[in-house]
Amino acid sequence: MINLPFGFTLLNSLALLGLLSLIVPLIIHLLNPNTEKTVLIGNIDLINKGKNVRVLNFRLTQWFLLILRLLIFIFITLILASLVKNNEIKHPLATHVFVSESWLTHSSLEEKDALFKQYSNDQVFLLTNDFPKLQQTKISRLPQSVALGIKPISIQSLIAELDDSNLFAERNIIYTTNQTSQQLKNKISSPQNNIEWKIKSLSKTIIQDSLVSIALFYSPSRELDFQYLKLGLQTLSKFTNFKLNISQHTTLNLESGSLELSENQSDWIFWLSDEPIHPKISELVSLGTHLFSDSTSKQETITNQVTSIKIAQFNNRFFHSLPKVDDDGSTPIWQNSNGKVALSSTPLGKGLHYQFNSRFHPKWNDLTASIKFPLILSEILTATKKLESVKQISSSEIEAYFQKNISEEKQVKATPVKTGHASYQSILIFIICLLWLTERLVSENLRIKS
Amino acid sequence: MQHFIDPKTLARINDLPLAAKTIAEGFLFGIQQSMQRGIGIEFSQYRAYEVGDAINRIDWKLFARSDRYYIREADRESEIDIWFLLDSSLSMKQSSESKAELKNKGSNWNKFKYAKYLIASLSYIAQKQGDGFGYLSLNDNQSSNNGNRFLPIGNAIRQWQKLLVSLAKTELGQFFPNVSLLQRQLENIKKPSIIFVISDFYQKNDEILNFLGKINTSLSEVVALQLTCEDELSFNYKGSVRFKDLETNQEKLVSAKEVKQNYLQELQTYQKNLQQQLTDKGISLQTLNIDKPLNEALFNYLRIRNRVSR
Repeated sequence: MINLPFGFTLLNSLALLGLLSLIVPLIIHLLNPNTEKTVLIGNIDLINKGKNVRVLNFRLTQWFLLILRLLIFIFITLILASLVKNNEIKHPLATHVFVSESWLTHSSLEEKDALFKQYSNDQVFLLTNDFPKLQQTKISRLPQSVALGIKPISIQSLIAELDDSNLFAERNIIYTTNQTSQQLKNKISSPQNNIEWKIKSLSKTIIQDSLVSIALFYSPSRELDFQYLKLGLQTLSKFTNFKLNISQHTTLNLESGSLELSENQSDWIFWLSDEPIHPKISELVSLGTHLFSDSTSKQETITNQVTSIKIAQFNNRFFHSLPKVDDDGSTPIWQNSNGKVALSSTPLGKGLHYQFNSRFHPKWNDLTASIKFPLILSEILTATKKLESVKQISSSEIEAYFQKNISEEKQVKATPVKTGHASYQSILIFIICLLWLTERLVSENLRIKS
Repeated sequence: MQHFIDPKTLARINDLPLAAKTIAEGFLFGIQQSMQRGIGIEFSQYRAYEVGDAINRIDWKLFARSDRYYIREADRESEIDIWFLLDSSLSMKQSSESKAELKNKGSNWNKFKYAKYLIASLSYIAQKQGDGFGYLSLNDNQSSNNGNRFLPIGNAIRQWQKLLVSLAKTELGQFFPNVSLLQRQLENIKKPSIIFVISDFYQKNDEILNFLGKINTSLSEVVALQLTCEDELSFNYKGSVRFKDLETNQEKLVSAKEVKQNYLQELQTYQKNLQQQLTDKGISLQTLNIDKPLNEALFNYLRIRNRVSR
């Protein structure tokens, strides 16, 4: 397979050997008996009295014929070589619009209306930081019947997709805020010359809210888990605009009473210990802090092990169902391939308790070995981060908003994105027929003239 | 007459005497009496006495030596001189190069070569007839082989051999010469003569016609032998052809098909004018195609000779 400019591809490169056939018209041209020859004559006056001929025309016609014949062979070779145009890179629509949850949160109703009207004929993707809602969705094109299944695209998924250039259109517009733009920009390694950034500036007070305080508690036996988690968080802080204030404590400190915890000290508490959660911690959670704890029993090791956790399958475009609240009040967030819950959240007072049925340990799963480990952590942190000055809208609200704005007329059936190759065989055959006819006409005309 | 050997075939032998003899003897076979011999100065041969021969023709000295009667014979001296004037300007190099003639290209057959064979054959017949003959090459080249381009009148086989040498050494010059250059040689034409002028009769300023006017006197009969070739007559060219004049090197690139008709008309007009001009001077014109056998030329020679000698 040979890639040509302008997205053309030759599937059968061996057929290029057919270009050797170009020798045939060249030989015909060189050995043409009608080509100019010199004749010695006794009295040129007899010729001179004859009328002058348009010899230049004659020569030009010979060259024209040669070019026609060469083109015929070239096009035949292109047919044999299966010339196609690769459609995978470009979507049929020229513009893709990505709207971040952050932008929607901080925009007025008028701005949202204007945006929707402006791009009513384009594909609009919703970027969400909500962790479980992963899959890309062409919101404006979904039929009503599947409205409930809308799953906006996550930032992380977008990053992966943009890296693969699968989501790129000829023109891409990303609506976001300065709160998340840097994080996005840093992560898009593809050329960005066809991406327009519409960044809404937020006031400093809002951005400062993205400062997240994290307290890591670990027992000495879980030193390794702690190190992995800490490294992941530090990496996240270093390469994104997340400002993480990480403090680390051993559970021993807590038990000995040497550590004082206050209500506003931490947004997040990570509990990495085989011991039950300390009452002081539970107390803080009930006041609004989020708690993340992992599996305490070795028994769950087997079921939660390895890549079955769906977060690791983003690249494969894994469709994820919307979370449903279980009877016990917990909301499943991650599932493994067996359908067992890997991560769930349970309201605990004002806060949330995230129960991870595995551990950040290589022996338990390959999350820590994944290059996306820091991003996975970021999804957890941003999904529940509190922005006190602005009311944060939920994904379900956004979906409802879009659904409301899609009138029945505007709905079109979801058209599958064309993939594969567009064949140019019929066009090439048509061109060859034209060339051949022209060649015959010119050739016959020349023969009659000479 | 179809048994005549094509001169182009003979030309491959590349032996002028052999080819000329073959042509001439083949032509003479059965239609011409043998050479006239009788009383004369130039000894030819002895033959045995036969009843009826005059006794005074017996060579008595030979009788004394051999005790047999022999008659001494001499070549009969002719009253007619034959002159061969060969136009050896560069235009005589023209040959047929069209597709039909390609097979003979290797023989390098052209008007000049044909003319040499023609002169050699005619002179052989002349020698057989006992006629005196001379040769003059007509070109403007003064520097080389000046001695070979003029052969004074002579007869017998030795003269023929001299003529062959002259022919072999004759080379093409550039143009037809000025008459003044030939003054000295032309003074030799005194006796009644048949003058063969062999040329393509392509001239720039009527120089050939002027020359013919000069040599066409009451004593001589001038025969113009015009050489043409198949390509020249039928214009068998195709496609775009660059024509180059042999003498002037002037070139012209044309489409053969488009100029053909006009060319043939021009050629016809040219021939008609030439014929008219020569007739006005009392000169007969015979056109010879170099791609055909020599028979026509040889017949013409005998016809004219018989008429003149009567």
